[in-house]
Amino acid sequence: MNRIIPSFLLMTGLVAQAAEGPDFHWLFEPERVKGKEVQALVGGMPAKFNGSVRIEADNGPPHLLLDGSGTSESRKLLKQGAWVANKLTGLKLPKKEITVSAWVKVDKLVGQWGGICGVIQDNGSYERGWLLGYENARFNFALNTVNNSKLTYLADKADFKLGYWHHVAGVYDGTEMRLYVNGRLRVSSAAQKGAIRYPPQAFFEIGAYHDNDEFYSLVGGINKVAVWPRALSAKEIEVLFKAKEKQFPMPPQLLEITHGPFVDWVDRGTVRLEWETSSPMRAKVVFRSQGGQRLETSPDKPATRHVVTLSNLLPDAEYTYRITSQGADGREYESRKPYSFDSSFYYRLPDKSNAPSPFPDSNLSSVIQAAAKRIVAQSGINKGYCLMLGSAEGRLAYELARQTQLQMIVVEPDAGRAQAIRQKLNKAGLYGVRVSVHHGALDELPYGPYFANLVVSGSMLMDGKLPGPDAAELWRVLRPAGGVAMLGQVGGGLKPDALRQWFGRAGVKCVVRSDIEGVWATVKRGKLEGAGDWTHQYGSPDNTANSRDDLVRGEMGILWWGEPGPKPFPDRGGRNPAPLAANGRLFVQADRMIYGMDAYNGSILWTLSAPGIRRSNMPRDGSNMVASEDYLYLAGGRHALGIDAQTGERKLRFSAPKDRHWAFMAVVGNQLLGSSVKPGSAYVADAGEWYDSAKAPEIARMASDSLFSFDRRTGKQLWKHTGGLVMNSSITIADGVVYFIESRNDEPAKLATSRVAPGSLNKQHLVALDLVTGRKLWEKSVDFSKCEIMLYLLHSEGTLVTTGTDSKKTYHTYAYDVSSPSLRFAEKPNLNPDVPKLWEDHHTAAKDHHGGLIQHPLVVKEVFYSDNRAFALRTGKVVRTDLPQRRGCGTMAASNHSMFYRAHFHGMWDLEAKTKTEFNGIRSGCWLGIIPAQGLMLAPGNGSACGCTHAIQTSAAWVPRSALKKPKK
Amino acid sequence: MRTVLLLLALPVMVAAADWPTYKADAARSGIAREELNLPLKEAWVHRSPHKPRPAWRAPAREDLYNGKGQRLHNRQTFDHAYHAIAVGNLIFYGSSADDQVYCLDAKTGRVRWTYFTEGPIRLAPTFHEDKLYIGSDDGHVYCLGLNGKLLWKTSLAPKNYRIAGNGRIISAWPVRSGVLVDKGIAYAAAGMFPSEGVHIYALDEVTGDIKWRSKKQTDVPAQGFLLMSENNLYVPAGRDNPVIYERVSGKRLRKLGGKGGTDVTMYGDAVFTGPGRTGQIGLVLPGQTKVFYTFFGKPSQQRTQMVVTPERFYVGGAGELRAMNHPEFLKQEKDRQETSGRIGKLNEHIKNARRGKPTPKPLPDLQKELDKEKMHMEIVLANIKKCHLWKAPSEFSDALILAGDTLFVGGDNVVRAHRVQDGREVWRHAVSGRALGLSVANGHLLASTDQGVIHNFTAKSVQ
Repeated sequence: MNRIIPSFLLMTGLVAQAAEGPDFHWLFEPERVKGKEVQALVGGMPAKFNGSVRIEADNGPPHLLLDGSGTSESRKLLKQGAWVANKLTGLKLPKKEITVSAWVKVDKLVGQWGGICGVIQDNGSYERGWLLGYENARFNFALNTVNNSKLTYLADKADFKLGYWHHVAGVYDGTEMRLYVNGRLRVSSAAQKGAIRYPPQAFFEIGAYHDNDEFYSLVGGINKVAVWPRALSAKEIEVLFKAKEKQFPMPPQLLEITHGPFVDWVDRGTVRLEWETSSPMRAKVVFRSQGGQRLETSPDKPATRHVVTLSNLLPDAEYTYRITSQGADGREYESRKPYSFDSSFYYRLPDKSNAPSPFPDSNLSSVIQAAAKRIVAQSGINKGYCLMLGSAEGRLAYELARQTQLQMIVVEPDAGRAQAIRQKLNKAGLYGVRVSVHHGALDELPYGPYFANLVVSGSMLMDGKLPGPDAAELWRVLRPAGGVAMLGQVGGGLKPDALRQWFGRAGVKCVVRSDIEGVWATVKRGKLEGAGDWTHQYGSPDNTANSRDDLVRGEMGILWWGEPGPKPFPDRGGRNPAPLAANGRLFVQADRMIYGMDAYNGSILWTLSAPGIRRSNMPRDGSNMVASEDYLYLAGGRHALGIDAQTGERKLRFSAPKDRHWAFMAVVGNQLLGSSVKPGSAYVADAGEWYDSAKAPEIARMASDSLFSFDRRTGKQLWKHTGGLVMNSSITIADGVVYFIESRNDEPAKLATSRVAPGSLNKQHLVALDLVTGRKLWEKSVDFSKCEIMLYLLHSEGTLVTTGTDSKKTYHTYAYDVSSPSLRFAEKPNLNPDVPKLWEDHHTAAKDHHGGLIQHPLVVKEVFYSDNRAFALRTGKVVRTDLPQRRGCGTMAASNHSMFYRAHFHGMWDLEAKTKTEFNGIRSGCWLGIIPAQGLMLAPGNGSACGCTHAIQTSAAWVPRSALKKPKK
Repeated sequence: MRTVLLLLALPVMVAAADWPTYKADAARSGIAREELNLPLKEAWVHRSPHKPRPAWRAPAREDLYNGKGQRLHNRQTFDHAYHAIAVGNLIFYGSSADDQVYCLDAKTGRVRWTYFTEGPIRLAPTFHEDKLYIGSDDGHVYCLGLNGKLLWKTSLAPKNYRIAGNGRIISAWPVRSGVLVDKGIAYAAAGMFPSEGVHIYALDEVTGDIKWRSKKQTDVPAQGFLLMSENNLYVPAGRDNPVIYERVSGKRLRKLGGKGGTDVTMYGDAVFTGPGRTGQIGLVLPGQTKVFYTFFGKPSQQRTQMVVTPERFYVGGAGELRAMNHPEFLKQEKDRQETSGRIGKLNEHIKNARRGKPTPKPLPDLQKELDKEKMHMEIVLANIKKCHLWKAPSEFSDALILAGDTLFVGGDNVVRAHRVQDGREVWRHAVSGRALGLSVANGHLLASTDQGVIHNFTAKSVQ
């Protein structure tokens, strides 16, 4: 009790403080009515009303009832509503700051717009005043200031509930607009600055959007309206809400999901849903398909970690689902908005574990079963493509199809036998969907390189006859980075040396095991020598947008194409995260869907549907995924996940500080680096934003308030840096140093968002931290304020280069020499370091549209490429002007010998041969969609929602034609 | 062997009312050569062992750049059902799932024989003079006898190079054009990625020998059912627009304009291509490249389907089925476009005259002319209105064909029949899945659905 009293007093104190402030304040209750007027609590000006508008004392709290009588036309004609004044003369309206709050209930939407309280004129290009109102089912707060010709309509991100009471507040503090619903900050904007600009004539209206041109009446109730001449703090708004919260029948409260939800496939018709809440709750999930199917499930007990399973999902159906919970306080909680799930995003091959055997049951059946089991266990491969060189009866193909998720390709030299196997496996329901039989010679396989995850021989298993003259063809088609060939004979007289020699003739070393079950040779292929990885948004943590791949060059031929097709992807234009590739795998981020794929044959290894995982506007932020050899690290909400790269299992979890979301990501050695931003700050492009504009709000930059490092396997936090606002797009890691540009302006930190207008990110410092310890090595005061539209940083060969553009369409580039060991190994933070500026360049952009002003630079060897120019990295001398013209909206990526970009279609520029290739008919999206890695040109996704008629929309990979040549005998 | 003997015992009865290729003929008209007496009765249902495995499952969800809420249409649905052809007492289709050509008994629906290719068969076979022609993703064209025996096969792929494509190991040059046969020549196309080269072929229909091979097509793939007029071959190009080749030489003539798509229908050398981004069909007139008129151009949940006869356009889409006067509409629409052009020009002259700029005629004369043109436009618009003969509500248009005085429409779990006189619905029957393929032959209506099911409805045929 002792504890309760002071907090109660504190609360009432705050209420009193807030309540003392308004210049206008009306409580719509019968006691305050005189005729057709409601007397003001504060300010002395009564609110008048007319027509069928009245004060209602029944049905919940007292309120001004706008019952929607008559048609919308008649309401408009009669101006049926409530108002304070029909002209502004003599009114003392807020000038520099404002808070307008109300308790309101919208019963029915009768048009697009509605008003709660406002003084507004929005007539064509003439936009003045302010308004607390709504558009469709979203509350908004509109305001215009002297520094902006337009009104900013700041709209909530979620719909309100019709028929329920809400507390809504719009706040403007001279630099930022904020909208609160039910005591919580929902959205903010820095688009307006300075004094509020009023029109000379307007209506001070309650319960309608009313200006000279329009009158849109609210249909519902208003209990209370107040207008302050100052910006109330978040705490004050919360107190206002809490003070009356219990008097109103409230809509379900927002369910705070602290982790997830994640949707995992169990089988074709079943999914498992997983999420966490901060307190124990009993949850319910309802799935609804477009066709009307409703599936519901609810676990038995309250919990914080929720796992539910839903069965009987329709194939190829679009679902929405909601999670609701009952809290310990007895109230209903509901997830913010319906999540989406599409059951057509299912890519597993049909399960044939119970396929009937088409072969007579004999001892041979168990021998083959055991051999298949051994192959699967020892190779560790059960997904992708299995090439079988020689089939015998087809028994091994049947067993492997039954025991794994492999797609079997059988090549059989004997035409009659091939036909017989087809018929048998067709009878078992396997043909085509799990097994294909091709008639052909074993010494000249018709297949492209690298496609087979597993190579076996069914015929050799029986007769011990080696499949072909040597292993050259097998090696050509075996997938690099982990593909396994396992050839053996059960019983029989095959000699281990024969196997060794057979492999040896092709220069391949195998491991031979001979035991009671037979003799087996195993080969595991390593990575392609010279192949590069693309593990971060711009290739590597140094942001050079270069994979250092030595193989991707010259003429390229198609290697594979297929899923994912266009449907899972967000619209092309959102400047979405780049795909990644490492250790033979390809990771692709679609719209809240993640794909783990085989880079060499396009097989989809796993998918993850997670509504909280989405990023866009890469030029002002960073990707939410990075890859290592063994994991994909993926950020969503507060956490980063360590996902097993092969299986998709979520094995590790790392957390950003409390009340923050995970922003930047990098993985270097054993470290996972991250940064933190305020929740709800990240760009998600759900309204189709293109981020091509050079103006606010699209150029607001994501700035982190802390930067930290974890051990990427154990989850132990290693260090944390705070001290300013770190611009996410600038974080660069190279040579054991973390570089970034940090703003020391305190003001943006006070914003409710981490999306900050570039102009506010002043007092800039270039900072260097020791990667391992997080210790500050040096910092240098810098001024990159000319880089308004974006700000990039990259490092190569001891050179740190920053690039950005301004509204005058000029690229500004500054290069620094950071090669001195004294900069990397300083014992104390050097606050006055000698960081020589090597050069700077200022040139007009080659184009100012379709991404022309936001091109990310790249480095190939000692050349820095930016926009349409190439500079010597160390001197800034222009060394090439023959860059290809980019026609599309993407940005470039490079290997050691080539560059990739979007022209009309996929474009490739061979830097040495100076040849420019277009891959007609297929194009990428509006950012970095083509990556040269793993010895391939990988282009998943591809211009998904483009309505244009380019002929092919598919994920695809190309390989240098030099790799297509058959090995010399 | 048993199958062959059975076939010998049951000779094929080739009737005048066959449906020998996709949508009946080389123009893909969808017009049957017979009429069916309604009501129809379901005779049998054939369920293929596997559902179709389309190459291109679904389009992107939404083109936000062009406006929120605009659902996009899949422009490549040629393999979303097992489109059936019918010859005498036999029915044929190809499977994209198990790579086989299926021959069914038209009377019982029983499988008579199957033939394996080495890749998915995505488009319907074509029958011509006792032979069956099939294109496969394995890069070959196959010619089979009606007993399922291989007569010849020809590789259209420049080399035997097989890779993962649409989830299967197939040729880098799959044959996804179907085959058309006429005057001793079988036409087909192979190739997916223009950077690998795409070729159109003319083969000897008896031997499979290559008569000509087009120059390498390097801009678009060849995907979708080929079409043919007397002199030209029309090659659909997936999401893009068809390319025209000269039949006699293989010379490329031009690529058409429009919004792309593989649902192509012809009338003479007029080409109707769709569904475009919003489901529309664009008409390109003979000898032209640009779209002359767009049917159902506004965003729609339905894709547009058309049947074109000398007298009428039958158009399904945007929630309705419509009949239009074909020749009169073209005449009036041409007049409307020309009049609109003249009005635009006159308005420009009048604007110039008012600004004191030189004009071909004095302002009062221009104004008079403009008034005259506007009056003419009113007449033209009234005439166009008259060209719309009737419209009936239709919540789907997944397939549309004409059999005598009956239009058959395929939709979600249903097929329907409408009278051509007034559009009135006169029959309907449930089917399993979306009826994407319809064919009428020899007293049967065949409905192929996206679930791999073929329904056979029978009636007494009216010649």
